[in-house]
Amino acid sequence: MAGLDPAIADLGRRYMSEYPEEADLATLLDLLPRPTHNPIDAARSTISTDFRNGDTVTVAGWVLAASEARAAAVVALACPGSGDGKC
Amino acid sequence: MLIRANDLAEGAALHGDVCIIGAGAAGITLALELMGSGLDVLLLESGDIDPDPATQGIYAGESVGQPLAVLDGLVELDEIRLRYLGGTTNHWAGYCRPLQPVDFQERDNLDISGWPIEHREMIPYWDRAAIWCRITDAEFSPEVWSERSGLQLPPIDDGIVSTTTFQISFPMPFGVVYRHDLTDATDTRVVLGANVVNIRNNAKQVTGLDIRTLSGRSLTVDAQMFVVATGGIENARLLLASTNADPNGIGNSNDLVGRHFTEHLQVYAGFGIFEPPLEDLIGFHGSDVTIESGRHSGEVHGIKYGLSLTSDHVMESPTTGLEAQFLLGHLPHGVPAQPGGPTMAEVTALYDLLGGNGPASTSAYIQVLAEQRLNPDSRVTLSDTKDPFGMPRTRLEWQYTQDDRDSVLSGLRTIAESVGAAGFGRLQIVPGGVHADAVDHLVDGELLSLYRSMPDQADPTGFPIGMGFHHMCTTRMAHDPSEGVVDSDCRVHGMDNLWMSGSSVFATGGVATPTYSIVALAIRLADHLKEVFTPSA
Repeated sequence: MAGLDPAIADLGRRYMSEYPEEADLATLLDLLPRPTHNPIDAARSTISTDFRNGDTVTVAGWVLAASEARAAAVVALACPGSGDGKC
Repeated sequence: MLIRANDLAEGAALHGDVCIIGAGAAGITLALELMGSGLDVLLLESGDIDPDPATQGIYAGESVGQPLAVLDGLVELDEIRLRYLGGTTNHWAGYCRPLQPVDFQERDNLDISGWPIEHREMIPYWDRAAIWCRITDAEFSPEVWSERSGLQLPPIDDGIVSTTTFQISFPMPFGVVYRHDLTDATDTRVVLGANVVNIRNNAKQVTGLDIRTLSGRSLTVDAQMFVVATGGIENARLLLASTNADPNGIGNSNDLVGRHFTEHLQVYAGFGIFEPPLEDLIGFHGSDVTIESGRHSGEVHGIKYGLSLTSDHVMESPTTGLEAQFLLGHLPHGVPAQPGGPTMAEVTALYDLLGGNGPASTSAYIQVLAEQRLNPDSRVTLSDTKDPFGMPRTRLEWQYTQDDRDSVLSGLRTIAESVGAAGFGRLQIVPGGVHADAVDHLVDGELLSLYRSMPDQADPTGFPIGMGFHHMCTTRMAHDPSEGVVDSDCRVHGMDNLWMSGSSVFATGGVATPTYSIVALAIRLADHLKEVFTPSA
């Protein structure tokens, strides 16, 4: 996850605080579309479909595709530190 | 010609073929359309050419329902309408957009819906209304306007959400723009300072009007045909207060006059980020076009896009109409600041990584106008207090329901999902949690934080709702007198020679701003009056 914007991890942490039942890597990877060897690519391929199907989540009012919010959560779990500007 | 009631002799009796009460958008359009038809027209206006506090104060009354909210404050009944030549067009924002097909249809998901006329019947009148409203024409197709103006359209075409075009005629005070027409007409007398205090009738016909001036003069009016065109609240008040034949007022045997008072629900709804750069979204911000031909050739009006739920979606879903406008700015860095939650910059980072074809560069502030369900308990009645003429003042009980709030939330979410699916951007829904005066905070093209409450605190059962100053449906149109006050010709059920004009006759409110359709319906009524007029022997 090197090089990713730490802001994404912040958003992912917020998602997990609102959806604590998904706040572990195994659950998130299971919910993300296959292949999950790269959760970013997996999420990218399904975002439009999520929106079209109404498979969306709300994070502090932001209406996000479920897969993009979960991808952010994966980033957060891979970047446990916050506020250091690195990920 | 313009005359002042105070210049006429005490007790003077005025005669005309048609008497129109109220010189706002509806009344002035009617008068303009009847000019040269052979009919002698009297147009009565309570105020003068300019506003004065005493006349405006006649509009004061009680509001006992939902708060009359606008922007971040509350307003009174004598602020939401204007009582002088041109009426409420004197503060009209000029937004023109026709009612939509779904507005005219019976809808299974609503208790009360449908008009007794069809959408297609209105089209020729919207064509003519474009002239009086001083816009280019009755073309509202976003594709056509994109071609005409070169303004780029958003890539949203899913049958659920579509681009909406507004033509904006501002300022457009009818009393100023058409004053010379009214002054020069030889077959139209505009009587200023003429307050109708009673519509005399025998429960079948209007037999005359009793007029008073603020200085105490009394006049009467006699005509073959009468039209009440005093606005969505005052139209009901005048019928209710005219009790010489029936203590319940005129046309009120089914207790419908004043009921179904409907507004457009205005919600300051949240924020958004958009992928297209600001310069490619200028259509949402607004642009100017010049009228190329006709009466107003050379005049400039605005053109602007919004997003709205399609008629098909509203028809098929348990929701009501909704449209969203966007105030756009360059994406600010790290704002809106939102303690404890993702900032706009964080969502943008995610969007850039996952969502779009390029970085999101534009921020948006979202303002929503939503349809209100017809509610018989939302109503205009008469107050126990009296105006200077001894007429009961207005008592307004505006009522909307949780169903209306739910439709705002679901409609916003639908628009957010369509925007997301199109790869156009992301929306944040914070109903009522943003300040209404965003336009004052667009600093150097950057939209700064305007949260009035955090998204977590937004209350789906109590978020603030404002009004659009659109007062509708209080004498709604219906074939059946048990469902409405006027028939499809806008004639009061049971009355031979009394018609209503203005948004009070709307059978449903829809979501389109009403003035353009008020003008179209006035043109339609003018044609009808010409048709049914019987020259006296």
